Amino acid sequence: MATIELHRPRGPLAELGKYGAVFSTTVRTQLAYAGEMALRTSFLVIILYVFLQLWQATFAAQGATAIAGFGVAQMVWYLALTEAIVMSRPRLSGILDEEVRSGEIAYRLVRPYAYAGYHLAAHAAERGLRFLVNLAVGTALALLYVGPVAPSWSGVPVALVVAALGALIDFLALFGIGLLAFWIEDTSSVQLIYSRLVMLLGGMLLPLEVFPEPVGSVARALPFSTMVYAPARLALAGGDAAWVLELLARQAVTLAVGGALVWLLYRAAARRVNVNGG
Amino acid sequence: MPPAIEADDLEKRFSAKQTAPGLLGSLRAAVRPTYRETVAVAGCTFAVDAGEPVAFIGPNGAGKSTTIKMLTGILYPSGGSARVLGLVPWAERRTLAYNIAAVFGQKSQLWYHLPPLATFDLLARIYELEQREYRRRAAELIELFELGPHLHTAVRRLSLGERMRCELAAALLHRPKVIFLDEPTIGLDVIAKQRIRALIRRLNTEEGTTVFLTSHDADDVEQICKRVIVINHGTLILDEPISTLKSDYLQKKVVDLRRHDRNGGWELEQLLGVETLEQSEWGLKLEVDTAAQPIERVISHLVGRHRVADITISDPPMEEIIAQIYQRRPEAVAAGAVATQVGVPRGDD
Amino acid sequence: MATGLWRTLAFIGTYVRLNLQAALEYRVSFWAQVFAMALNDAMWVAFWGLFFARFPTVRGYEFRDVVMLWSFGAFSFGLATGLFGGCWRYATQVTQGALDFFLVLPKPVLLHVIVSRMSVSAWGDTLFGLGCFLVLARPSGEELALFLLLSVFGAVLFVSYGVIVNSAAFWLGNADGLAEQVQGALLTFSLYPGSLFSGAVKVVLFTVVPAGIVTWLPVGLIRQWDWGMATVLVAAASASVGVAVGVFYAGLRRYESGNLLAMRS
Repeated sequence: MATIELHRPRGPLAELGKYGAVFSTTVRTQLAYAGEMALRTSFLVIILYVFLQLWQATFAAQGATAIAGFGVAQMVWYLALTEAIVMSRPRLSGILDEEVRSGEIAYRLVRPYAYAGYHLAAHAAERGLRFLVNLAVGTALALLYVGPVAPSWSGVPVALVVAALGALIDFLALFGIGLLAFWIEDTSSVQLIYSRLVMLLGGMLLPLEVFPEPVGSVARALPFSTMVYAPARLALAGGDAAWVLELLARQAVTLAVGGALVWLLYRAAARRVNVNGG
Repeated sequence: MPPAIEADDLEKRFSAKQTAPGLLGSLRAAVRPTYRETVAVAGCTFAVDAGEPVAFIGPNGAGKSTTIKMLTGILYPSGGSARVLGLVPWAERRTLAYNIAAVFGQKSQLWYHLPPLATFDLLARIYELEQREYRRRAAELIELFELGPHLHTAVRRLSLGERMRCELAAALLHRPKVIFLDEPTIGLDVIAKQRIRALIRRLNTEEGTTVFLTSHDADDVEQICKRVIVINHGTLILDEPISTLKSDYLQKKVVDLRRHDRNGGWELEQLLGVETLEQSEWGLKLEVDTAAQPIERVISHLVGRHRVADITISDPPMEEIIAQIYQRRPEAVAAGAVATQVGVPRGDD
Repeated sequence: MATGLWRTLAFIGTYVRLNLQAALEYRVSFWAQVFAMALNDAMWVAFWGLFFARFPTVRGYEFRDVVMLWSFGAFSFGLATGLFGGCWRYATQVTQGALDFFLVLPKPVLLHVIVSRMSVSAWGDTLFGLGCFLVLARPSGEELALFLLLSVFGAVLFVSYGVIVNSAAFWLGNADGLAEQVQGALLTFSLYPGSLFSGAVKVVLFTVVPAGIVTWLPVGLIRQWDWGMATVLVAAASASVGVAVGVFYAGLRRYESGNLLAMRS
């Protein structure tokens, strides 16, 4: 077959470069939704206000100045951070489901990139951009409602690392749920339930210490808490080295196990492209 | 030169779990599933030479998409073998991907909210093109496809014809050696269709790109390709040069006539090779086998006897040609019937 | 008059049945969506359970009150968008010019628009609302009767509000994002204790974003009956229908006059 001269991959740098290009193109296309993104932050105005009222009433009823180590102002900042994280989650499962059912997946598979890699790059771009917008609005609102609070300067960089790893875990879960479209009729329900678990057990509305036992301990042990609760807590109050190491170790294990499961799922799905492939 | 595409007894079966209706059926299926086997592609053998433009046609559900998916490496076959550019598609999908392109008329690869140029830039990175080479190639395609005015317009604001030209240019940036085109002119108006066809032809002759085209539009097939492969019920039933197909099947013409008066009958008995498709007092639709009966004779026969209000002569539509192909090949129909019994996969077209 | 009403009801009934039949074509998906939505609601109530386990009373609200709020909100919202799903999302149809379909048919356009779609997950809300009320609030017979009766008014208010908010598309063009946010605001506020809010915000919550009227007021009535408040509820529900119809048809005149054409292209 020497007569046909084929293009071949140029190596890891070019490979990485293409995901970089997917990332930047996604950022550009997301900017087309800038108006929508800004509009969506209006929900932050409401939810932060509601919780400001809720916490003020609760602290007054308890006659307390601190609950789980947080005052009213910190509770509002906590919520601003957790909402910024949760509201940044793109609807990846829906996108995958759509690609599988419409057969658009064929367009992705005839390209010289890894399917998961493509989606990871696009997902990271959308999530990152949304997070920046939500964080900016959330910070502004928290300042307006309760004024500044001192962050934990040592905790913030750790929080960013934990949040990024948490986002990666979330990506794996959403990617896996999207792939289920090869087997089940309706993935949106699975995604809805999963998202509610992230919110509730992740500790979006309440710091997990507020939960009664044993729910609090269980929630802290689950991966959801490393996506939402842990970064917010670290940024506001820091954490001792033992807890940080434990968190990172748990995230590493979750990523390894989750990654393996999703990889198996993907392999099984690739053999089923036919059924839904359009 | 080895062939660009080779398929040898290529086969794809799907087995789908069958569920009887109702809750009881679902439960039974969960405990002891019964499988129904579906043959989508039942052993196809063909080869396409490098630089050859080939049409791969057949009715909906014939196995076209499944075959294309196996040739592009998206699907694993159940049997047989295939090579595209000397590579086994499903084993070397990514290497193959650098060297082929696919355009699906009903799906877009362009980023909806961005100008086409943004997708071009991205594809250049995905296919690992050198910047200089990419710039040169893009400039060439932009000129050839007359995309200049549209380059900086968001894709959502382009007309379908403009978009299709961009899709095609996007697919060609990396100089694919084989291009798979699935309904590239679907939904376009006549002018836009002509333009797309001319571009594909040019690409084929000037760059020697192998074209593997799927279309329901007989004109696409006729104007772009030199050879036709017809598949139905997963089986190849015809593989011939267009010229042969034309003399065999396009020798028939359809005559549609309306007359002013309604005096007397149509008096067609004396004409050989003419078949009446529809007939009323005012109008008539005939199929003329031009091998047996020159079309001029039929026209003069009709014009001489009736006050003609309107007359049109046309080629029989593609579907009719396909139907004829089946009629002439009873053995293929018989093979197809077996496949029908086990069913054809849903969503395959 | 009586036959007119009967015909309208029969028309609505036919549509609801067809929508349901169409949704049930995908039986697994239907039940998955219904179940998921009910589970979603249940998780929010579980959140409140956890909250009140720690803080038993917040400004006069106890767990049972929030349960009633959620039950009532979910049930009446479920009825509204389960039967008249079009009311919540028709802004897109306006911008895309998809109302033409309704304009050529001999039925009241507004009714047709709202009844033509069904939210499948809404049935999850409805089932959850009733179930949650029965199981967690353990109502007396009287309370249950009031719950069912008042939810009709709640549903009417949700429908009217959806119609009004979506009609912004007649004036603003692309308004589905805006409508979604404002409707989201109504739902959010409806499901938090009313006693948390005061001052100007409270005024807003009884007018522009009438969470106060849609859920707080009826739930207050179930807790303790008050003829004055009941009159306010009935009057508000009736007025909301009037405003919704008025605003919709005012907008529709703009639509018919073709002023939206440029936007639709």
